[in-house]
Amino acid sequence: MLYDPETSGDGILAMAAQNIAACCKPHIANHAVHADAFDERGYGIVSCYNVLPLAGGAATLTRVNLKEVARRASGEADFFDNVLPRYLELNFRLTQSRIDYLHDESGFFDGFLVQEGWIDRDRFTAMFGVFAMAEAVNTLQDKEGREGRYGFDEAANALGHRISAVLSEAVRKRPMDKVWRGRALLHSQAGLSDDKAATPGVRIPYGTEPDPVTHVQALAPHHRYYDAGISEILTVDESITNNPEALVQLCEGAFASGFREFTVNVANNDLVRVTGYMVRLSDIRKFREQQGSRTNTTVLGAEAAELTGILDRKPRVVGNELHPGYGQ
Amino acid sequence: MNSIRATVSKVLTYSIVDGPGNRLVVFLQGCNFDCAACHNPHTIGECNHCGDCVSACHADALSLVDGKVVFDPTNCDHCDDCLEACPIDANPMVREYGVDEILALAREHRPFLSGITVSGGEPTRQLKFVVALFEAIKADETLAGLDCFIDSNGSLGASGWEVLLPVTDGVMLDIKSFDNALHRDLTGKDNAKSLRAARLLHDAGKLHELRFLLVPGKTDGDAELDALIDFVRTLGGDVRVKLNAFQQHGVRAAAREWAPMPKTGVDRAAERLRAAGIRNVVTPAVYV
Repeated sequence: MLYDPETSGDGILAMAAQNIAACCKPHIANHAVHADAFDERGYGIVSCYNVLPLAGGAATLTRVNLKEVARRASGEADFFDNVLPRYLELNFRLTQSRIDYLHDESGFFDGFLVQEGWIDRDRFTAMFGVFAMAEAVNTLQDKEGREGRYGFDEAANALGHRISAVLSEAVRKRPMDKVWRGRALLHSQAGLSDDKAATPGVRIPYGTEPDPVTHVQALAPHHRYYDAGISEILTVDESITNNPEALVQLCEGAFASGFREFTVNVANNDLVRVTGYMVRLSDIRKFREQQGSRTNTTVLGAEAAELTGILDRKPRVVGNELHPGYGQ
Repeated sequence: MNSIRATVSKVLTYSIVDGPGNRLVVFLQGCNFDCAACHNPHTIGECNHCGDCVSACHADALSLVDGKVVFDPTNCDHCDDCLEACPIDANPMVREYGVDEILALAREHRPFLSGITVSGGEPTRQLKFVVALFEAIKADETLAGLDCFIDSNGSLGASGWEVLLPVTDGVMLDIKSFDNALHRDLTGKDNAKSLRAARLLHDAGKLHELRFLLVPGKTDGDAELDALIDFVRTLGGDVRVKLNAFQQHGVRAAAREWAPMPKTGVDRAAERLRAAGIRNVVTPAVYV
């Protein structure tokens, strides 16, 4: 759904929120921000949050694994001064050769789509994709001896925003042949199924997200850089089905903060909030199952092992509610 | 500026279960009820600086300074051993907040907020703070549009509500039981004040939601449900009735023996209310 606060009205956003509560759809995009990035012929959003010129498309989508770039850097300065520019340059060359192939060799533009005027080869861009921002930031934080983690720590978040700014600047500066407006478009890429231990785009790693508001506030400064789309999922618990106004408010807050687009995932979550407190459904189930056998140390050991794994996961809705004290 | 400060157990800037929309929630410390079913029992008591928690703290986050328990959040690793050690269900990790500090949080999160809710504990026990906070929100142009809600056990008297209601947009009120003996058993207090408060709030158009906690074998019987039906009928109008399901999580030892309330039982109760003509019945979205 393309949402524009000026023209869409509250009613349709409320309807969308009801739908999201029922089935996690639609995906909502900030029309005003997207419209600004394209021309009067407009844009379309396809597939994995790919935002492209209407009557055009993308000649290619290439990807830079930021985690790998960070791993190959000795520290933050080396990352920005040497290693990142080197891999960006390699990726620009890869991108250009794919564009060249599509236009010059593939025959794609000889078909009826162009001949009949459905698409226009001049409206094809190239998506310059990045992913694993979270791991890149955390890797650099480790190399600099800093503890703060991506999504939670202001300095770590700011480092991420700086990386996005540098990526954006590089893409805007670099002339590309045979693409719309002569430049590629930066894209926060949703990931492939074989990306091991690499978080999609600039997202916060799944299962470790803070509450949706903190989540939006941590990531909002990235959004203005990613003209070709930014894959974003906010996870909220099922309690929201009794309170869709909260979903409307979350959407409005996200857009006011500069979000381009997002999906809200109403999860059948292990971690849920019920009338003011947060519980792990698996904890409760375990507690019930093991009543009467809790003095058995084998059982306790097994439970501890499992709990340790579980406790690595952070509530996605409200942190620290299992620790009812001042848990901030 | 306003110098009234509150003792606060916790502040949340994202809550979808404490009133309409997304809300900033201030949990005020201290409650005059003593419910076995309370899922936040550490919000009931008020610290008397006995110091028992200081020795229970392994992280060096608590100390006794001039006879007062002092909490250092930078050392705390959230093990909650201090809550276990506290003999009076208080919380040494409470923080004092001024009105200005809450306003600053509200401004920071304004685009995401529908309103603010004070909860607890029993928030009306810190009446002056709540009034000052709500007045300040209403007077602040940058916070225009935020509504002010209270989550209460209804123990506040009429003169208190008289002060509070002009700056309050809605109240979510709990009735623990309609049978007074059972109410005393569940809460330690009579139910007359809560019932009076529900009527007063409803007449003032400020009763956002009447909440009723279903506890198997205690409050889920026909007599209690029929008393709830009668009460809602005598209020008149379209009262939103929220049925909550008792769960063992977080409660103190006495209530851990009670059975959790299953969805089937809640649905049965909701059906009984609806069949009696109460249309606006809300049941939990999630069961544990």
